[in-house]
Parts: sequence; C-alpha cells; structure tokens
Amino acid sequence: MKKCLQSYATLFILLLSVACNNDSDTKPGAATGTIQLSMFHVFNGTALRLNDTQYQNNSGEGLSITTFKYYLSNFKLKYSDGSEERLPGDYFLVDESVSASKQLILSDVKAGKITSIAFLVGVDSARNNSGVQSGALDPVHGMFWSWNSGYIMAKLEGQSDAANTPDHTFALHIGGFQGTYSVLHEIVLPVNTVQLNAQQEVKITLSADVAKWFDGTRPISLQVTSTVHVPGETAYGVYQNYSKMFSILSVSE
Amino acid sequence: MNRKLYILYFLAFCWLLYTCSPGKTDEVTPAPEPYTLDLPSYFPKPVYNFENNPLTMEGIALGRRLFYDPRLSKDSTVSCGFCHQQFAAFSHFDHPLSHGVENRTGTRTVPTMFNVIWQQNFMWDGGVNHLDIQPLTPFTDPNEMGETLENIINKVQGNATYRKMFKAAYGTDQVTTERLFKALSQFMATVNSFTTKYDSVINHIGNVSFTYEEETGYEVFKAKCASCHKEPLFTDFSYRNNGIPYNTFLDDVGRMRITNNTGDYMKFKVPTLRNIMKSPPYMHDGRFYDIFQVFNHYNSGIEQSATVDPLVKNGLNLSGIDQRNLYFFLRTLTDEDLVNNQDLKELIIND
Repeated sequence: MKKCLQSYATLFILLLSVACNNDSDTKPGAATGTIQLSMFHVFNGTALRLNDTQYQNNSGEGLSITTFKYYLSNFKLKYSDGSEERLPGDYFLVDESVSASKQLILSDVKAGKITSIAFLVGVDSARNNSGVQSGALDPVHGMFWSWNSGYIMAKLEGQSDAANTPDHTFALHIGGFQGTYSVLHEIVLPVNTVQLNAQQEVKITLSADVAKWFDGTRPISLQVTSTVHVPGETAYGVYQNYSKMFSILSVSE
Repeated sequence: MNRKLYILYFLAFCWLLYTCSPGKTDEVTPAPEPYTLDLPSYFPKPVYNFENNPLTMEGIALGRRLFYDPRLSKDSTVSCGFCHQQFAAFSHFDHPLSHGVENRTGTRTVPTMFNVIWQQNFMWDGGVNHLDIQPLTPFTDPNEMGETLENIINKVQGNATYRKMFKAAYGTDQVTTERLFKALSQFMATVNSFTTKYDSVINHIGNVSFTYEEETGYEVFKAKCASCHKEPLFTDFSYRNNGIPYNTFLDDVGRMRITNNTGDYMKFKVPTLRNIMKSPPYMHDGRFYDIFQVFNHYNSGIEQSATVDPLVKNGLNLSGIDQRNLYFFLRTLTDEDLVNNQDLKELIIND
C-alpha cells in the first residue's frame, strides 16, 4: 500500500512540476538559429587518413599521422550591421578518430547576415586556471599537462623515418596560455555573407589542412623538431603555422 | 461529484499521507550535509574558492577514502597517503626522494601536505596551478601512481561502496574526473595546521608562553628566516634559489623548467616551517636528514650563482647558540592535533 501511495504521490508531484515549468524554457523575443560546423581534415588537399597513408611535408620528409586533436572555443560571429555575437560557453574537442567530434553544433546564435566567424584553437586562459573540469575539458581526454598546468590546445602525432626518436615517432603537443608565447590568438575566417534565420540551421564546412603544421612562418622539419611537449618558442612557431590551416569549404543556408 | 475533481482530491490526500508518513526516505538520497571549516582569524583569506566546491560531510568522507585507496595506482600499491603520511605531517618520513609504483623513485622529496587552501600553486616548482587539478600529477606520473585517469575512473565506478558514496556526495553515483578530484580537494581542505605552541603563544591562548630558548630562537627566526618563511603560514609561497648546490644526477633546475626563464634557475618553492620537526628529510631533494645540517647549509654551504637569493647569498651567520635556540623555536611549530587527528587518519580499505 505504501509503495502505491508513493507512486501516486510521485505522479502528483510530477504533474505539478510539469504544470509549473511549462513556459520557463523559451527565451522571450530571442531570434536565434543554429550553425552546424563540420570539420573536414585534409593533408595537402586530400582527405586525411590516419595510420596507413604516407604523406610528405614541405621539407620532403615522409610521414604518417596517428593522432590529430584540437580544441575549438570562444566562437565569435560578425554580422553585416557591424554587430558581434560571442558564444563563450562552447568548448569542443575535435578528434580525427571520432567522427561525431567533427560535427559541432553552435546553438542560440543570433539571427542575421553573418560576415565572419572567429574562434580560438584551444582553451582560453580563464579555463586553464580553473582546476578540474568536465565534458570536453575533462583531463581524461589526455589534453592537459599534469606537470605544468594548462591545456594542450592541439596535438599532432605520427611516424616519420626522419624523426630521431625510438620507433621514429613524432609528437607535437602545442599549448601555452600566458606570456610572449601564448598560442591563444583569434582566428578569423570571413564568410561570403550567410543569412541565418530564426529557428533555422546553417551548415558551414571548415577544412583543416594538416600539412600546414609543417609549413609557414616557421617550417618544421621532423628531423630537427620531432617532439614538442612544452609551451614556448617552438610551440609558438608550430601554432603560427597551424593558425593558417583552416578554410571555409562550403556554406549552405 | 465530478470524477476529475475526485481524483484530484484523492491525489492531494495521498500527498498529505506521503509527506506525513515516517520512514519514507528509503529510496531518496538526502542532500549532503554542509561542513564549515573553522579557520583562525589571524590567517589570510584562503586562496581556494569554496563556492565552486562547497564542503560537505559526504564529500570529505569520499575524498578521505580516495586519498587512502592504493587501488587508484597502477599496481594497487601506492595511495596518496602512502607518501603523505599523517604522522609525518603528510610528508614521507625518512624518504629523501618520493617512491612510486614498481619500485620507481622520483626526483624530489614529498612535500608536507596541509594548509593547502592557502596555496595558489603546487609542487616544488609551482607547475600546478589549482588544488582541484593537483591529483592529476601523482595519479599519472610513472614514478608515482602510474595509472591512467580512465582506469582510475573505471575502478572507482566499479566499486559498490564508492557508488554509494558518490551518490551521497553528489546525488548520483556517476564517477567523473571532476567529482573525484573535487572530493579529494574537500578532504585536503580539512587537513590544516594552526594549533601549535607557537599559535597559542602568539594568540595568548591558555596562558602558554615560550621558554627562554624558544623566545630567543623566535628572535633569531624573525631576524634571519622570516622574510621567506613568513608568518603565520611560515612561507611567502615564493620561488627562490637558497644556494643549494645543483645535483648532476637528478638534473633538477627547479622553476626554470616551468617558466623557461634562466632567471628561475634552481629556484624552488619556499616550504612552510610548520611541523618541520615531523617532516625530515629537508630540501627539495631531501638531502638533509637533520635540521642542523640545514643550519650549516645556510651558514657555509651556499653555492654562488646568478640566481642565488640575496638574502642568503652571504650566509646567515648563525652561531652555535643561535642554532640551538632556533631548534627550540622550530619545535614550537609542531601541531600534535594535526598528526593525531582521528578524522584525518588512514583508512584501511578492504572492499
């Protein structure tokens, strides 16, 4: 009998709470839509394949890729009327080996004519100082340095005969959130004006070209630089390179 | 009577019965019981932000169990409490260098672990920037507990006692890194030291006074030690090169590794002097077993280098009498309440 009474009572409470919470979810007067960002990883223009495909960097070194992971956060959209919209709460860990991680949903985005999309490759300084966190920022993902607190913003690992390491592996772990060699700088990609309507979704496909990690302001030869595990000048150089890896492949309203 | 109305009345009646019936809580988890730390008024405000991790009895109990559980290490031999022993003021008694799984040895001595809520950065080189992320280092370092976070979470999630304790502390039994680390922080936040003879004398508690030696030693301390070992925490939390000679075997250059700045060569965190008599050996690599060796170092052992601290550069010139009195003063910094506190005692875990 007690059990029965309890379930009635629970039902009653449930009914009450449904009745009370009915309209608390909708934001009054907010005209927002959704952006679905798809990340498409390539090496010199061809679709990236982990492990079994040989690539060549600009130093002429053969290599294969085993891990490619990076954080995206602090998205900012610019509109044709000059306004800006920040989406500070979104942190994504994009991982080539996890296909779901390459589909990013930016929700509650202000409707309007979008002219550019900006973001950080990495995790902002505040979150690097906030201790343990959950979700994409959970240190269980192996993207947090234990001996020198801070997120690994982007990680590229693989094999190359050029690398002077046991098993010829290379590991470029890039981070650093303070001082001269901070790798946190906004990356801005202009969009050929896309209209985001309220309650609608816009799809944007971004390409990230891994070959750019080795090529750019500071060319990286794996014979010379096969391991980066600390923030600093070298990490910053690699950041400068990969900051140019993104481009917009397609936009569909 | 309207049928709908009847049902409504009936439900309301059930609700009344339900709320009034005793012993109804067998399936409901009660909210965790808040815990308030009783902190001394003459200490600074804690650095730790309790708003992000409010202390509860259940959270602290969970943290204590995790702290003393060797199964969190790779081969189930090393718990946090293995190296941080209560009787040694939560340092590793008699061990110059830290020990880990598979007979591995680290490159530094285990620091004392109390009053952590006043610390901004952790480790001898200050490389860890938050108490809530500190457990990551000993958990995953191959020379310490050598385990992956993923395995630790799975082990804890697979244990019925832990599931119950997580539910009690957090409302559900889901084990996450954040919950696990924050529970450890909760326990560590209760490991505090401020009930020593020194504290009693300074605060005129219970008619306690220094002996002549202690009083004179306190004067020596204030003249020669207090700028770095600042009262009342007996550290200013700075990083300094105290002239300790570089050890070629350990190849440890201290804070320079964290900042990449040659100006930080051989700089290590100034350790607290509280419970110093309980926590030999001394220095970042545990090279001195006796406090008088430390006095000798500051007298005549300073290795000159570009980064050596100006305060010790020319030696402290401690006479034999100074050293003896200083020794008696340092003994007044021992906190018997800390080393005997039953709430902090090691738990024997056998399930």
